[in-house]
Amino acid sequence: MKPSGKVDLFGGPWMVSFMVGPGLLLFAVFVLWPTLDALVVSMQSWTGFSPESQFVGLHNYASLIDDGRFWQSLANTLYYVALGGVGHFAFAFLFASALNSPRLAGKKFFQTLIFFPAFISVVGVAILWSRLYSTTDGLINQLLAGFGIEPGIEWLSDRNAMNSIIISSIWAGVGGQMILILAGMRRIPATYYEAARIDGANEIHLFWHVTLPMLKDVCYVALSLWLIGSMQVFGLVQALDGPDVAIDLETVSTYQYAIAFNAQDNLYMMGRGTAMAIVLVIIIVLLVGVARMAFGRRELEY
Amino acid sequence: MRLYTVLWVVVAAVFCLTLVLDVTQQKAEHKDRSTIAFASMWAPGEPMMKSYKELFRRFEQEHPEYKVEPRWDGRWVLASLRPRLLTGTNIPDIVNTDRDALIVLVKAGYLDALGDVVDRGAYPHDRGEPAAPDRRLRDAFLPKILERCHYEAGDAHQAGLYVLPAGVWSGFIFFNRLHYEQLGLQIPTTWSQFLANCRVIKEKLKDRGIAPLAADKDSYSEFWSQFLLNRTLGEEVVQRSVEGTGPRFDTDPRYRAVFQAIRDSHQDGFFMHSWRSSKWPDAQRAWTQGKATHMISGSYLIRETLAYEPDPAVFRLGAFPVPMLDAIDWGDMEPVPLGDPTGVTATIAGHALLQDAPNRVGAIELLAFLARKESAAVLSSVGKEIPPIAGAPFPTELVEIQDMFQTAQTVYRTGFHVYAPWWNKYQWKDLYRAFFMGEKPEHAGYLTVDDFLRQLQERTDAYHEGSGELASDGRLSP
Repeated sequence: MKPSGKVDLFGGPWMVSFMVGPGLLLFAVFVLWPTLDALVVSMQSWTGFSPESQFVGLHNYASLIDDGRFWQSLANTLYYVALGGVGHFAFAFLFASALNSPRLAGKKFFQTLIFFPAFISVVGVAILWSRLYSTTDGLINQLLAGFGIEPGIEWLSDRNAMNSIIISSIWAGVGGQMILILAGMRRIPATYYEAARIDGANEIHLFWHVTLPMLKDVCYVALSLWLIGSMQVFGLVQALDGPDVAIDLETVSTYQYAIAFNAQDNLYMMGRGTAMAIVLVIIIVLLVGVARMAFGRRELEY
Repeated sequence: MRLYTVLWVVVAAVFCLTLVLDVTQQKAEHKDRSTIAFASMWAPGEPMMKSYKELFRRFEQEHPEYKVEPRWDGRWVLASLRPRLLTGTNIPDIVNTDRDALIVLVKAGYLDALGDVVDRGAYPHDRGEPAAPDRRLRDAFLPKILERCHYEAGDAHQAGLYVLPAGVWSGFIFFNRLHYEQLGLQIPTTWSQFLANCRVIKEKLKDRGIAPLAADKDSYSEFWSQFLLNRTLGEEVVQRSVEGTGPRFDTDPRYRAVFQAIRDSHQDGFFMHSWRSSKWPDAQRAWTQGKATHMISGSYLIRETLAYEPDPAVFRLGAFPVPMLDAIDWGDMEPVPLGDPTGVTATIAGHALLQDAPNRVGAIELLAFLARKESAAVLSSVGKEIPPIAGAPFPTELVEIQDMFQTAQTVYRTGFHVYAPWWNKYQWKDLYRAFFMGEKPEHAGYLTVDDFLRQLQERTDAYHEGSGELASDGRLSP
């Protein structure tokens, strides 16, 4: 209130509510309510079509424990997260270090080149790589044949497909991580490197003892984003192996899709699929929490 | 502060204006014509979509009072229909997808039974035919196909007819006629003849890089087993085995014969090189390039091959039914007659009427129009769909199969997912894939025929011991 006693509509709590209210409303409608609703659905037996559903308590969660396919899909997902993560970050660091080097010419060009696949949709990436991997007329096997390696590699056989998917995902996604890491590297004051060099550090020492520790917070962000995204991997697997994803390749998301939505399987178990989604969210939160602990809570200041 | 206020007002005004325009546009459009909303499983650009567009144009010409508004949702038609059904908004009059996928809508009580509709008079004029006022709409369809469009009763619906068939996808072994002509081969009627043909192709055409069988790793491998099972045991017997009340997979010699036949087709050099890693549609593209002779698939393969514009100098399409088994070792079992040799497999695509259809009268008129022979001829010639309409012409590529199809005494369903979705997903799929893909001991997942059948029976027994639900309305986990 103003000293005169009039209500001030353009200042104080009124204005705060006015500014924050719409955002909160949107959050409540589009995030909070669907999340709570998902919890409710996960405790129902529901086709997703029928207006009627049946409350089954925690049955959908309990049935996941006995479901070997769910565990297999979780194992496949974790394999993708782990191996894909190593690949993504190894290449992201490699490219970022190269682009951060003062000796490299044409940085903008290479930066754009590496980041470019991030503009392509997942399905586009899958189509592109399925053509490259093709055993009948794929470019990769033709190149291998040029080097005398025949009959080539069965890139998309059940045994090799997950690794092939990981390679495609690295190609498509490494640019994003690289940009994050590169931004972090450019933020590190040059004086740290100069001081270390005076103390006799070589390039490897600089990377291990200056760059990496100074990128802790960036690495945490990049890792969290990777965990959140990769644990939900769906498009690449579905597009490269689908529509009937093999059990050796099934990830939690493709399995969830198969039992909740996929007309091909004719199951339509929305409740169980939603329970799976909630379990997946919990696992992601746990993994991100572990990453948070591993990287420490203290923010770097320099 | 004033700036924010102005901004909010502008945003609100734009929002309201958009809403008003959207609503008024919907109402203003076709205000003198009654709209029929048609939600289709076909996607923009597909031959079937083009066929339907042509049919709607003709329908509107004959019925200027109606305007058909199609929605080309593609294979996700049910997924895109779901929110509209749950909220009761923008519900279409007709949904067009396959009969087995529609089970979920029938069970939820969204579809209208069409028993009365097929008893109305047929669409009044198929050009060139004499008037037949007594002709009912049901007479337009092949009886066996129409029969398959009936559903059993459930909690939310009565037993009855809920789909009018519009097209059929039937499975055949497709082949390159040029290879058969070059080698003087006859169309096989038994499995032994089929394998013998494959051997000849392998011997004579291997040097030209031509394999007897084209295949991708992920598509249609199940067709071999489905068709052979239907032909050898009949679908009802197989269903009873799945349900635990029929012959056992591990002891009945017919099952052994079927899967041994599949194993026999995996001889060295029969399947195209690296097929285990081949991703759809690589195999069918290679096949249309003349690099393989046979390919098992559904009849939709015909329209899919159109996209490759095959060179007639290397490829000419033909098709024959999966041959009957002729080498069954009955062992201790008294031989029994095999399945119906005239039987055909049919996945039926059709039209269903929504219970809350806003334009029921117009929709029924359109359904009757689409059941005309002339309409079926458009779907057949442009969309390459097998017509379920009596006397309608087949796609020219399948003309040799027309008689057999139209006189078939048995119409089989395609796949276990229709009557046993749980068993199909949890017990069958991965085991069969391992069996089919692992043709030799060095392959991952390799199983002998006996091991496969033993494991299949063990899985089935365990499934029933665990009170597995076989019907798609059984929502509790196995």
